[in-house]
Amino acid sequence: MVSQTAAATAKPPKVKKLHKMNHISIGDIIIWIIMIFCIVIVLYPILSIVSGSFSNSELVLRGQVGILPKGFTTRNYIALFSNKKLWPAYAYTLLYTVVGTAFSLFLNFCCAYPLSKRTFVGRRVWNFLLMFTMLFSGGLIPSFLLNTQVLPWMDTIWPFTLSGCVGAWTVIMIRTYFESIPSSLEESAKIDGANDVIILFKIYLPLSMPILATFGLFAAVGQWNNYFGPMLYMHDPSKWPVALLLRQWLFVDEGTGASGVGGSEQAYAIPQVARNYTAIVVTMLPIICVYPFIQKYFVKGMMVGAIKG
Amino acid sequence: MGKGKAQSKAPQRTLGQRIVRDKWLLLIFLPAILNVLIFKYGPMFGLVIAFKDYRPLVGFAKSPWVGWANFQRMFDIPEFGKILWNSITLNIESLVFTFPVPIIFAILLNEMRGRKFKRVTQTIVYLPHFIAVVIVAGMVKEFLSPSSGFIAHMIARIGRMSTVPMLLTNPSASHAIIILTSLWQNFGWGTIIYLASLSSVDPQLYEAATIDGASRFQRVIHITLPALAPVISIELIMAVGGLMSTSFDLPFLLQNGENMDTMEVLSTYVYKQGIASYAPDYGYTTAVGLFDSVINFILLIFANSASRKISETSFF
Repeated sequence: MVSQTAAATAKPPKVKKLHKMNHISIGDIIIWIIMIFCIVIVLYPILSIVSGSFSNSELVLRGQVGILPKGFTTRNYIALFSNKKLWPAYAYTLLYTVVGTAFSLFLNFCCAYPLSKRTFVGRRVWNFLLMFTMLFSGGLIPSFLLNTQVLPWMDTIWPFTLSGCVGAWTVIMIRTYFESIPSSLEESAKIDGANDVIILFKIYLPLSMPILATFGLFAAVGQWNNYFGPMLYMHDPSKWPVALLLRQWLFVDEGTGASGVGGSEQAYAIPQVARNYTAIVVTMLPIICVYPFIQKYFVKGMMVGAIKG
Repeated sequence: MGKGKAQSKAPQRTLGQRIVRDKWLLLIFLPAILNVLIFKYGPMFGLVIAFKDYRPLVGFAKSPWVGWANFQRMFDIPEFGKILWNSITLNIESLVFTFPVPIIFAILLNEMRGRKFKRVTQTIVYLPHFIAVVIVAGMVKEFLSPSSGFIAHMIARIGRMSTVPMLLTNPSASHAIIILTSLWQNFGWGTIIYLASLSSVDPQLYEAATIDGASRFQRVIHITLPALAPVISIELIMAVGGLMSTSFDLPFLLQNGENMDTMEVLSTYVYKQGIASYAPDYGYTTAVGLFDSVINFILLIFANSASRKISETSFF
C-alpha cells in the first residue's frame, strides 16, 4: 500500500540517508517513542472495547478487564445477534449508504462537468452560487421545515440521501480533475458528432474512476456513520440504521438495567454494559475491516484537495 | 481557487445563442443545480420565518410578521446567555488545544525515519476519523463510567483519589472531555493536509541545509515551518470562520441532566427547542440559527481579509 503520502513525504529522510548513512540519532529515538505513544493512545480504547465484549460482564463492570479478555465468553455476541432489531438495521444502513452514495456521486459529477468548461454559459454565476453555500447556510430549522412541510418527506429516505448532497468542496475537486483531462479527446469526439452527454459518460466517466472511487468512499462512510439525518426524519424505529439504533441503546435506554437485547423477548439476558461493548464492536467492525484496503483512496482524495487549496 | 474569470477566446455570442450551444451541458447541469437551489438556497429563503410568528397550520405566507421580536426574545431568555457563552468558550478552547496538534504531529511524521514504521503509524492514527461519532461518544461514556471505565479508574489512581470520579456528570469536566475526544478522533487525519504541502518541498533544501551544518531543529524552523505557513493560515481562517458553528454531535450525545450547565451549546439548543420539543418554536429557533450563521459569516470574511493582509494567502 504505497500511499501517496508515504511516497511523497519519504523524500527528505532518503536524502538524509545519503549523507548520514544509517546513523540513528537521539532525535530519531525520541520521535519513535512519541509515535509508539500515539499508536497506543489510538489503539488502546479500541482494543479494550473488543476485549470487554469477549469478557465476563461481571468483571467488566468491576473494571478489571484490560486489553486482554478475562473470563472469555461469546455469550454477549450470541445475545446480540439474536436481537431482532440488529439485522434489519444493518439492511437499512446498507440501503441508505447505497442510495446516498449513488445520489451524491451522480449529482456532484454532473455538477462538476459543465463547470469545468471555460465557456459554459453562466459559469461565473454558477460558481458564485456554489461557493456561497460554503460561507452561509439557512441552518437546521429551515431545512427541516423544507423537508417535512414544504416537501412531504417525513419518514422517507430522501431528506438524508438526496437533499443537499451537492457539496461545493467536492464539486471543486472533481472539476479540477476534469480540467486536467486533455481537451483533445473531447474535440475529436465532437468532430465524430458526439454531444456532451455522450462525451461525459463515454469519455470522462471511465477516465475519472479514481476520483469517483475516492469521493464514493467518502460519501459511503459518511452515510454509514450518519445518525443525525435518520434521527430527524425517520420516526419509525423499524427503519433505523445501525448508528441510530446504537445511539438509542447507548444514550437513551440508559438506566433501564438489563434491557434492549435481553428483557422478556430474548432467551439471553445480558447486562447493559456487555450489550453496549458488544454493540460498539459490531458497529465498528465493518469500517475497521475495510479501512486498511480503502485508506489510500481517502488519503489521495485529501491530497488532491490540499494541493488545490 | 480564485480563477473564475471566463476567458473570452470564443467570438461574442448572444445569451440565447450560448444557451442553445450549451444545451447538452445545461441538461447535465440541471439536476445538480436544482438540488443546490432547492436544498441550499431554499432554506436561506426560509430564514424569513425568523421575522415571523410561524405556525405550520397557518402556513408560511400567512403567518404574521413580528419584526425583531424573535431576536428580542433570545436576549430576554436568561439561559440563552449561558448557552452562547458555552458555545464561544468551547469553540475557543477547541481551537487553542486542537489546532496546533496536527501541525506538530505532521512535522514529527515528516522528520520520522523508517519508512515502514511511518506508514504503519499513519494508517493507525488515521483510523479514528472513520469511526462513527456515535461509537466514539459511546466509548467515552463507557470509559468514564465510575464502575467499569478504565479512564475513570486511571484518573483516580493518578490523582490518588479515594473514590472513582464521576466525570460525565461533572459540568467542569465536560469541555475537556469534548476536546480530548475530538482530538483523539482527528489529530491523525488532520496531518494529511500538512503532509501534502510538505511533500512539495524540494529535498535539496534539506540537503543544502545539512551540508551547511544546520541541526535538525534548525531545518524544521527554517525550512519545514515556512513551507507550512500558507496551509496553516488557510486552516486557521477556516477554524476562525467556524468559531461560532459549534459541533453538534459530541455535546449532544454526551450531555445529561447534570452537565447541562456547560454542555448545552447553540446547535443542541436549536435542535431541542425547534425539533425535539413537543411545542416546537420554529420562528424563535430559526432566529437563533440565523444569529449564529450571520456571526459566522462575518468572522469568516474578517479572517479571510486578515489573512490576505498578513500572509498574502486568502481562501476566496
